[in-house]
Amino acid sequence: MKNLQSVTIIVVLCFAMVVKINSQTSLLGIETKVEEGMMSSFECKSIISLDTIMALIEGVENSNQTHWREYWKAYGLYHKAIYYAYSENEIEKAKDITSSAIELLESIKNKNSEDYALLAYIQSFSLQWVSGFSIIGASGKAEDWAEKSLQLDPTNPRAYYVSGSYDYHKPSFVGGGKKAGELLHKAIDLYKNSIPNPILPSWGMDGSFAKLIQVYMRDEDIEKAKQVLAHGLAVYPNDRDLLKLKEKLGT
Amino acid sequence: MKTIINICLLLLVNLQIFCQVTEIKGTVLDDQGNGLFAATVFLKNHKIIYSITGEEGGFVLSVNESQSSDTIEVRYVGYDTQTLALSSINFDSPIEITLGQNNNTMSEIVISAKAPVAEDFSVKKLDQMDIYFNPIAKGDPLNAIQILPASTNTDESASPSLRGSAPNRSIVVVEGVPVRNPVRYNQLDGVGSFSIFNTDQLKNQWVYASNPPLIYGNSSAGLIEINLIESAQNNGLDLSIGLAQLGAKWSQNFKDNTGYISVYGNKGISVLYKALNPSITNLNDFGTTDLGFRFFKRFNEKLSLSLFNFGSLENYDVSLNLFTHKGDATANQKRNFTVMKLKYGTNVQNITLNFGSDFSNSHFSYGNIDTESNRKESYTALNYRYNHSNFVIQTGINHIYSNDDFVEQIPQYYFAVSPNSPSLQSDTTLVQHDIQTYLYAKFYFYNFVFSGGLRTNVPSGSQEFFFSYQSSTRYNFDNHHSLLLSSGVYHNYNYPTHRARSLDLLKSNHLSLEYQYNSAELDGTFAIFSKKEECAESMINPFISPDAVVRNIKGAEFSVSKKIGKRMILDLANTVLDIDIEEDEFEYEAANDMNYFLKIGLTFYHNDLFSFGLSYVSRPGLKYTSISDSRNIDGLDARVPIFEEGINGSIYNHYHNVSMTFNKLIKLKKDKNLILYLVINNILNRSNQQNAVYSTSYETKTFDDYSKRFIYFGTLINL
Repeated sequence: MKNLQSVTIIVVLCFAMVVKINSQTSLLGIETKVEEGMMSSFECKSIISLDTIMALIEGVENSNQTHWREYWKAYGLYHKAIYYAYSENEIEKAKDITSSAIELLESIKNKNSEDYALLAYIQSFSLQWVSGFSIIGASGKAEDWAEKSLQLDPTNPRAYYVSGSYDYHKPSFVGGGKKAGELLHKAIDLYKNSIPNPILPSWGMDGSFAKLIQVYMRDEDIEKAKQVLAHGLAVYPNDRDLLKLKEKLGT
Repeated sequence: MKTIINICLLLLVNLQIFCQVTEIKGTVLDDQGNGLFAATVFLKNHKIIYSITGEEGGFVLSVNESQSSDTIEVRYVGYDTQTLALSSINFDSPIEITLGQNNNTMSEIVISAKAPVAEDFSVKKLDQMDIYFNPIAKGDPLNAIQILPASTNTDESASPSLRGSAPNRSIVVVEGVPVRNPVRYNQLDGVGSFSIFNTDQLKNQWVYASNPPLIYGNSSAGLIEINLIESAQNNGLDLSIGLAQLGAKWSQNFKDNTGYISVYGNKGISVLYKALNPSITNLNDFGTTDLGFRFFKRFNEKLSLSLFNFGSLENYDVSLNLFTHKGDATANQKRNFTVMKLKYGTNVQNITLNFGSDFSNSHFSYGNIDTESNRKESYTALNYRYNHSNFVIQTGINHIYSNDDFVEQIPQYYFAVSPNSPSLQSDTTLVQHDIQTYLYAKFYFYNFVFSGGLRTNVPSGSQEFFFSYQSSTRYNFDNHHSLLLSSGVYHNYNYPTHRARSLDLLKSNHLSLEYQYNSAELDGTFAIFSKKEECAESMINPFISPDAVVRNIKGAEFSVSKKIGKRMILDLANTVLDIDIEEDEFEYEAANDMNYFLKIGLTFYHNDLFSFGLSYVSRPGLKYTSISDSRNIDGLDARVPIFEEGINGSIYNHYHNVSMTFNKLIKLKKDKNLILYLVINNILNRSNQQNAVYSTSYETKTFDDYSKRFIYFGTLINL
């Protein structure tokens, strides 16, 4: 009797399950895997965790998934560049990997809004190693790609995030610095209303909060900066960048 | 029995669940009939019910009876969103949803600009790139100010002249430390074409046209606040090679990204510059050697140290006309100054300790003038600032020690400056301890920003007590329009010059009203202002400074900055100055009394091609007092000039200057770059009269001109 009871419970539980995800792809939850792989690499001071995730991505062979495989490869390379730059202090290696990520994305045919947003994001990341006048040329690409991303999908929060970030850093003599606040607010609104998709990108909401706080701090609007910070910490209580800004704001 | 009942209950529950949930199966396809992987399928009004398509585009959506009136929405990046009412679906057969590719355009996205927010001063911010691409700047931060409407500089030097005031009334502050004589070759005739600052080290500069903040003292006109970068843009070596200059800079960021160290040096030589610019006939030679050191370290989230040291050896040799003497003027200067800022705290509250030192030795020789001057100056300040969401308070105390020593031979008669003319020996030492304290506060109240400041000195010795104060009110109508009303009484000590070997206390009353408009595509300002400056410089006798000369300044400014397309900005500014001088029983118009001062700038940049800036400056000629006759004095080889009736009754010709800058980025390998730049000043080679020059008996008058057309080019290389 006891065995029948157990079997019954198991059968009932099986019937009660609802399957929502219709895919067995390695790309399921890949964004979280990449980010966790990077954190693990930082903690262990070894690239192995990230390389393991990269191998997972590269193992995707289905032709329907090729586009996203390349996208997530570039995303993974970007995180490898972060690791080499900030954990190993191997700047030249980080620069090489960043260039590879950009080349990979550029080679994707029929790029969509997400591809351009990631291109703009990684290009902006690479600007930290560009000096003086060179900034103008290099950052111009980031601007073009951010614009393209917005153009292709005006409902893509990442398009607003990279556009707002770019405008924040854009020299004022060419009209920069004026739209960042509005673009980042729009990004946050769109992030809040998006439907979670474990295969497609969802990055950037934490960055949008952090960048918007910096916009208000630069404008010396401390009250608004604190409001955005409170909002951001409610969503991301352990975000490293938000906690650093919390300390700067003295809250 | 109990177990059977439990099983039945469980089955009943599941049966009930099955009755409520229906599965909708389907496929999402593109317009070629291919399955779309990872598309999102969800219920529009119940977004928690969603599914992600698989490799072949297939999905299963579990829907409740209660949701039967909802709509399925299908989204996929790069494709048009599709909707399908549940009521139109046959749940018994799989459905196919086809998405078409979208072709969106940008025109619908309208983003407004940020509000003017918290600025309680009439201030303009210039970033590093603003300076490099400024058509007038020649890459120099103080020259870059000349394009601003508030700049009323008329001598083509880097000396900041703001809203009609003389340069010695404004102050330049670097990392919180005032820097006297910020211009190279700023000797007796103010030749300085460039400042002593390296734009490469500059993060931004804030230009206060008038009513400057009383958190800094020593200004009775405007203020320029310079902040330095806190990380090197490039690790390693950069070389710069120009027509008149060779430079190298080595920088290294710290491994933990908490700061950087940078060392740079420049050598200036005139040989090639003169050879390529034969129109510059008055310049015989110049040379500079300078060395700079910069250190910034953030020890933790609260503590940071900023250090900057600059040393230079400068010399020049120019041909100069003064009254009837034409001869060579030579000058050289050795200088070293240091600026330090130690900051502890957060953006909410912090304490800052500033320290500066400035040592220089200079020598000037012309005709029967020979001046050797030594200067020692130190600056120490302690400041506390508290930033609340509704208000800001800052207070502090500062001390300036200055010791100026002049050993000189000066003309006995102001008009007789030839080497054979009689001269007098003069030794002057000026020592001063200047202690000041201040309080500043700013409040936010709805759309208003109020601020006020007080500054007073603690007199020592025979110093006069003074009390400076200011207030301003800004009202932000909305995100685009704002109005600023400012007033104040300011004091500063003039720096001893060749005309005045004294430390006079200058005073100035300011009042201004400014309207500002901001949008993403257009910025505009309109301002009216008035200033009353006491103890101004006399125009009657240039070698004597009277005790009380009052300069009354009234003016209006207008400026517009318009973005044209993606890559061009047009700047337009005009200033009107009505300046009268009261001196004893005389009242006359100042030399820079002008009914217009027009500046037009056009900047174009393209990422992959080049960047280009064009500027046009036009104003009336300056007024001057012409010499109409002369008479002899027995025993003197020079004649006494007799000035025309009416001070400043003559006027030089109209001033027009068209200049350009051109920059081209050439990528070498990887991230190494070569930047080429070209500057052409006064493209039209116009003769703009600067000084009247007389023959020995004052019978004929000719004119020295401002700079004619000259070319300057160079390159920057990242190694």
